[in-house]
Formats: sequence, structure tokens, C-alpha cells
Amino acid sequence: MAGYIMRRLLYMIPGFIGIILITFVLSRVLPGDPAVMIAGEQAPPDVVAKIRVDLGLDQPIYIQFMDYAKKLFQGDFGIAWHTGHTVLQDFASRFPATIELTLSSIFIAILVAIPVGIIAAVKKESILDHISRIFSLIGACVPLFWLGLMLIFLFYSKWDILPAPMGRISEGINPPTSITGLYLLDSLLSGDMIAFKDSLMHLILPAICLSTGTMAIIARMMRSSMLEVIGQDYIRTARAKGMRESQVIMKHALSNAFIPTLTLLGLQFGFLIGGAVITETIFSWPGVGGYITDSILSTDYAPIQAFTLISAIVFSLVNLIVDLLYGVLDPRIRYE
Amino acid sequence: MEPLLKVDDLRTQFHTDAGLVNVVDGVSLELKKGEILGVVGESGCGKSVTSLSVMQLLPKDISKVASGSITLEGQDILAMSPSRLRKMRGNQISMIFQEPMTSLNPVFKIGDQIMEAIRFHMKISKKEAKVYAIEMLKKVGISRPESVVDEYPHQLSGGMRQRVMIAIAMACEPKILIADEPTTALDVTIQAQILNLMRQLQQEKGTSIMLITHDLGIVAQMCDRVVVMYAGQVVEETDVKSLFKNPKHPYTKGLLASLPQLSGNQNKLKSIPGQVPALDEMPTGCRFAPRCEFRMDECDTSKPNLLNVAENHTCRCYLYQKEEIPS
Ligand SMILES: Nc1ncnc2c1ncn2[C@@H]1O[C@H](COP(=O)(O)OP(=O)(O)OP(=O)(O)O)[C@@H](O)[C@H]1O
Ligand SMILES: [Mg+2]
Repeated sequence: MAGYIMRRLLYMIPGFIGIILITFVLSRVLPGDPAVMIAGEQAPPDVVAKIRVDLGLDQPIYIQFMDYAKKLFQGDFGIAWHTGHTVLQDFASRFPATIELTLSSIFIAILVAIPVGIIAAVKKESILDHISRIFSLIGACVPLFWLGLMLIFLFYSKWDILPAPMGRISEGINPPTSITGLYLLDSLLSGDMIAFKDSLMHLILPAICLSTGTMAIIARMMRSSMLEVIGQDYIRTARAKGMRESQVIMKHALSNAFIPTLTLLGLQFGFLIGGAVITETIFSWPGVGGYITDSILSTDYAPIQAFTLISAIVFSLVNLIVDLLYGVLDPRIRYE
Repeated sequence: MEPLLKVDDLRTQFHTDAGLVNVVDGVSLELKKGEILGVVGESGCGKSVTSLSVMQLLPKDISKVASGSITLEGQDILAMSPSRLRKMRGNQISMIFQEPMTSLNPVFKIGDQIMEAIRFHMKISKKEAKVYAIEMLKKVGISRPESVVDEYPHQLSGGMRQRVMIAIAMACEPKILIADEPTTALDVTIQAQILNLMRQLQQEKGTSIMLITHDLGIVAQMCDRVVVMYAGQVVEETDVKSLFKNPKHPYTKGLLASLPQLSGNQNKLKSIPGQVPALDEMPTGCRFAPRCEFRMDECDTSKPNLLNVAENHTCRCYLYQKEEIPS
């Protein structure tokens, strides 16, 4: 087991090196001159040239890369020009918001998709099944930005049930004492119900928005793997033993049908990271996603490269965990 | 004596691409206390569907019992509530299946799968159930049962898994065991072991067994009485001796003739010409007529009834109409 994990971690390294290379090259060939961005459009050429030398941008590209790689190894992701902070500082202050958003969307997606998938399978071809099929189709197709804007339009502008899509908490309210960085959890831990309620209201829309795609796909996956499992001989055996139908479904069928769904969930993580960038921008969510959008718009290389690399690392680790969970759920799988 | 299980004029329908078809069409049979009843017939003749009808385990969305009755000690199974049915399944009637490799849940331990049935029906503690599960495993001839309870199905061979299925089925000492081709998927030496095990348990507990098979050798070796099915109907029923000595129905005769005989000339191995008619293209008359070497005019036009052709011997064939004896 430990050997397996070590091996998997080792195999990730070439991938990461590839990602470092590609993002580096891509960000250099993209149009836009960071020196101009920093100095401002009207700056005299000699100021721009000086900035270019300061940043090392006058060096040949392979030297720039060696420089970048060396710093990376020392844990230095560089400086975000457009904020003036180090990338690490910026990330540290924004990551909790992104984590809170992503975790809540996964939570919502699972909470809705698993029961919906089960019901759709058990009541195959019923009206419930058709309704869930239609909603899944919509959920999987609807563009995130449109959905986000619609949600804001309905719940904020029109009905005014939820607060303005600005940040994680209303202005007059103090954020909870930071323990984990997740407002919901922190406010619960410190018993601050006012902050809890307010941050929940702020979180609901972006979390729903980000969850829909994943929700739709997981519901469909759950339905099809459930249908397959329900037709298996061991389900008939469970019934022949006299088991309650609820136990047959929730215990015997679900424990098998959940396994493929879990894999999908791991893969969906990549989609969630991408979706978070858009969602955060729409909802002015102070997370890494919005920050990355700003970085892209201001040709700020360092944060983009760092974000891509960190996303890849998170994605790989999540999928490693999924594979390990697989072994817990399915005794036929052994890691050695 | 009132039979333990009585199936009367059972008609089970399936929705298929060709529409609604009677997969089981007027099957009647009786299982008496302590006997082993063989049910034989070609693949697709409705043996499994008959037994699933008894268990009320038909796939609900595509099939149903359309008419007839099934009674367990006089109680109507078709009228039982879902909770009454659950108390019956695994407790009064147990079933083991043709496919031991896939009949156990791959993600649960063997012990848990046995204990589940025990705990549900006998209402005993987890600890007691585990002791009992180990005892059952020992009884079905599994060596080192203490470790097998903590193993998963994929760690066992097909024969072992079928033993586990038998342990599950017999755990609550059911009155009836329905064994649907329990050895078809196993190799010959394992087959004999499993059959011996079933007989031994049957003798110890007095369980009645409905043994479904298409192997007449197994019938000869195991059964007291035999029901021969063809295309969803019973075509002959009698005790095992009469069946082998004095088969009546041309289909039964054909089946017996196709048995390889040790003493006989191997070249004489016969098979019944033709094929079972498709469910949606059943002949109007006798269903076996198109393949029958004794076919007469009336066979094509009207359906023969199941007649008493000798004492405890019924047959569905016009050849014996004159021999009918009052029952
Ligand atoms: N799940 C199902 N869906 C559709 N048709 C079915 C289904 N199960 C059984 N049937 C139909 O019922 C007929 C009888 O099937 P059954 O399984 O009872 O045959 P059998 O006598 O048990 O055959 P075998 O020896 O192959 O097990 C088959 O011809 C098949 O067309
Ligand atoms: Mg069958």
C-alpha cells in the first residue's frame, strides 16, 4: 500500500514537469507585454526597458525558464505584478474561499445526485425518471455564466431573497474567527450564528451554480450503474433471502453502484476547478478563481503558472485518494 | 395428504419485443413433504420462471403472474403482502441459483452475507449469528470456516461459493429448497459433491427440494418424482422409476434417447430434431407436434390435455387418450 502510494506519487512528477514547461511557454508566447502592463500604457520606453531588465525578460527564454524552475524548487512562485504581493501570499488569502465554494458544490452535487440517480433507476421509465432525465440534460448543457447570471437575476434582483453577489459575507458583519478559513465551518465552531447565516446566504448561489454540471453527470452515472447492479444475480439473492427492498437497494445495490460513481467524482474535480474560475468571477467571490481571471486579464504570468501547477497537483492527489477509496469499497482491488 | 407446495394452472407472462407472451402456460405441480421433485426440460422452457413465480421474484417491470394459484401449506402466495413474502423467502422457501460465481455480493464478507439472512429471520444477536454462520459453513463442507467468514466471494472457487449459497439457503431450515440448476456451472467432480451435500441436508432436515435441471442423469440419481416441461407447459409427470422405465410422452422419450449410455452403442446417440417454437409462434395444437415422430392430424388442430395415463403418471399427448384412467 505505502509502496503503491509512493509509486503513484513518483509517476506524477513527469506530468508536473510537463505542465510547468507548457504553462511557461504558453504564457510567454501569448500576446501582451507585462512590462508595459506594469509601467502603464503611457510610460516612456526607457522605463519599460528598465522594468524588462529587472524582471529578467530581456534574457533568452531558456534562461528565464531555468530561473523560474529554480525558484519554483525553492517554493517561490514569484510575484504577482498586478497585486504586488507574492503569489503565495495571494493564494493563501484566497484559497479558503475557493475550497469552501468547491467543497460545498461537491456536497450539494452528491446530496442531490445520488438520491436522484437511485430513484431514477429504481423507478425506471416513471415520471420521476423522465423529470430527472430532463433536468440532468439541462444541468449538463447550460453554460455556467448564463446559469450564474440567471440565479442572480432571480434570487437577488427579482425576488430579493438572497444578498447581492458580492463576496462571502455582508459588509456590516464580521467574518468568523479564522480556524479553517471556511466561513461556514468557522462560524459554526465559534458559535457565531449571525456570521453563519449570512455567509450561508452568500454561498448558496455560487455553490449551486458550480454544482449543477457535476450534479447532472453524477445523477446520470448513478442511475446507469444502479440499473446495471439491480439486474445482477446477487441482488436476486438478497431478495431471495427475504431482505427488505430498501435494504436491497441501499445496502446491496448502492455499495456496488457507488464505486464507478466515485471515479467520476474524482474526474469531475478538474471540471470544478475550471468552473470555479468562472463562478467566482460572476459572483465576485474572493477566491483564487477570480484572482486568476484578473491575472489573465493583466498578463500576469506568475499566478497563472502557479495556479495551473497547483490545480494539477490537487487534481492528481484527489484522484489518488479516489483510487485508494476504491480499494476500501471494493475488496477485489488490492494495491501492491 | 395436502402437498407442501402446490402450483395450479400457473400462467406467467413477459413483455417481450413480440408483445405479451405466456412464458409459463398452465403449469401445475405439487411438492410433497420430504421429497425431491425434479423439473426437467430444454433451455428456455420456463423452469426458472416457474420457480421465480413461486418466490415472487420475477422482474416486476416486465413480467407478472397472470392467472393460476401457488399455495404454500394452503396459504396463497400470490395474495401475500410484501412483508409476509419476505418472511417466507429464505425462511420457509429458499432458493439457490445456477450462477454461483455471481450470486454472492462481491463487496460483502461471506460471513455477513450468511448472517444477514440468519439475523433477519431468527432475530438473534450478531455474535450468535456469527457462531451459527461458521457452523453452517462447516456443515456444507467448507474447511477452515472460521477464516472463510471473513473472506470475500472472489477469494472462493465456484464450488465453494455454491456451498456458501447452500449454507445461506439452509441456514433458517426452510421447508422447501428450490435449486435452479445448482451444478450446471460447476465441473463434474464438484457437481457430485454439491448434489451429495444437498441430499445429505435433505435427509437430515426433511427438506423438500425442487431440483431444476436439464440433466436426466441428475434426476435419476437424486429425485423421487419428475415433472417434464416443454415450451412453458408440463408434458409429463410421474415417479422417477416409471419415467425411466416407461416414458410416455414423445418428448420425454426423445430426451431419454439422447442420454449417452455406457453399455449402448455410442453411435446411436440421438437428438430430437427441430427446435423449441418461439414464444410468440406457439403452434395452435400440441406444442411438440412440429418435432414429434408420432404426430397425428388432431395434434395440429387442438391442444391435448394433461391426462392420467397410469397410476401417478400424467401425460399431455393424444397417443394416450384411450388409456386414460379416472383419477
Ligand atoms: N428477464 C427476462 N426477460 C425476458 N424474457 C425472459 C426473461 N426471463 C425469462 N424470459 C423468457 O422466458 C423463457 C423461459 O425462461 P426460463 O429462464 O424460465 O427458462 P429455463 O427453463 O430456466 O431455461 P434454462 O435451462 O436455460 O435456465 C425464455 O425463453 C425467455 O424468453
Ligand atoms: Mg433457468
